[in-house]
Amino acid sequence: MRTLKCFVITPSGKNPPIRLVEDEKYGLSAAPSSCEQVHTSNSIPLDFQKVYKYIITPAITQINVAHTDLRIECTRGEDLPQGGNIVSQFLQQICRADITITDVTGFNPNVLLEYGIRLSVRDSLNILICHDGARLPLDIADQRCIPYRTDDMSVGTAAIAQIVATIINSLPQLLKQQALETSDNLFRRTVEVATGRTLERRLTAVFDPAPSLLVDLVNEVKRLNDELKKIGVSDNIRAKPRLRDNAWSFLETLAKTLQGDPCGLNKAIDVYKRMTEIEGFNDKRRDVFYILNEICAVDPERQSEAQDYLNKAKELED
Amino acid sequence: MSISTKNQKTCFVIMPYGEKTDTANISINFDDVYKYIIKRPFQMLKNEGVEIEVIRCDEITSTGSIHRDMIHHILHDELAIVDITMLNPNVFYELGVRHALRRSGTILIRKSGTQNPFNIQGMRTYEYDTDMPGVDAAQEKIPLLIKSALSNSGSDSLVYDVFPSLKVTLTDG
Repeated sequence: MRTLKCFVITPSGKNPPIRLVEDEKYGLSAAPSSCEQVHTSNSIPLDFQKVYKYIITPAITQINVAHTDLRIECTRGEDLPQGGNIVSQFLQQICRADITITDVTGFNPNVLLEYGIRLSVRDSLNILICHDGARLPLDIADQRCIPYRTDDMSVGTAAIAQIVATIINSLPQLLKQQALETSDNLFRRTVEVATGRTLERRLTAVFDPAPSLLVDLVNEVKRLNDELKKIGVSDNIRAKPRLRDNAWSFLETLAKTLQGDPCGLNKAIDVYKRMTEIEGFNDKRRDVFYILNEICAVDPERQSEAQDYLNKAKELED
Repeated sequence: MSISTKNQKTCFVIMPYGEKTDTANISINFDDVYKYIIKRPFQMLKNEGVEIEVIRCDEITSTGSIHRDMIHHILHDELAIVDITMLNPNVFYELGVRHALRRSGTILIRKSGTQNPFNIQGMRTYEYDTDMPGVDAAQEKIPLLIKSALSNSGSDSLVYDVFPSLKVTLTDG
């Protein structure tokens, strides 16, 4: 069963509903929480709790029901455990999620800030939604945005269908953790070019098999060394131990670097796992099992895996 | 693109333009804020021998895509001054991009009375007033903020606080 994380960037549903009014420049926009003044008396109430419950959740559920081997988990900021550094928890979710759904209705500054961060950090599926009739701020005006209404069955249902279709279309890339190249937004594309991410991605793909290759080589060298020793070949002809040490510290640096990257955690786990396959180095391998245990212990879904690693570390304790 | 003269430092100013009225019915002329609060301190620094080019999005003279040039400045400029007054959505979007791509060199300012939204509540924000004492105070304080931001080897970015080893590679362009 594959799990994809979906983080919903939205104003908190715990806040009282906002009121949308017709503004010349922004279409339907929030009053008065948005600080620019608007002059009109007709307004539409909008409750973000309802948007989550009747638009976003049904869309995700529909996908989960249709795909038995897949589960998309949806989280909002307000669902995160309170306490600790909340902003930091937010950012981790925003940067690590496979999918984000952002509701820009009302131009909540936190939402826009988080969306800007997400677009820059993570090339994955980012869906934009907003209340039907609202206009987008200039910076993101060229992005595809799914309009919804919670007070109109046909617009609401169409929005759900569009969210479902967008996610389903991107599933092949999402499951392979590949970047989505479908972005038709200039702002976004410029960031990618300017950060060299496209090239970086290609290099990463080329580099992907390196850890496995290295581990196999190191083990093979050890095996040959042992054989040579058995038949009495002298030390200076056999491979030097330094080779193994260097290979180890290279893999260690690689794993740590990946661990520090918002999108690198899964890859870091893979590298650590490969490191535990290097023969010998019992102390170092034990430490790696402890690291793996630590990484997995914070993820509710990896609890049994975490326990496995802990047991393996303990086995190496003697 | 006008960024080729790279030996000079550049400060990109992210803020609303023109005159805007807030919900308390107070209007602010952001072009005046730019002229008197933000640009003047750079004149002071220039007199001290620290020359930094100040540029706002509407001043980018090159032809072609405004968005592309704007992103270029957000990425490459050593300094960014971000005025969060009136919580303008474009300003916050650009601030998010800046935080994601630059570890340091971002200065937040606001007109006194503005509340920082939740995400940036913990971040130091210079508060200015739009009267003569306010202009005076800004001339004194903002040069110090600029110097400190330029020498800041740590992080003043939300994103880098959480992911200290995040690396963004800038291509020459």
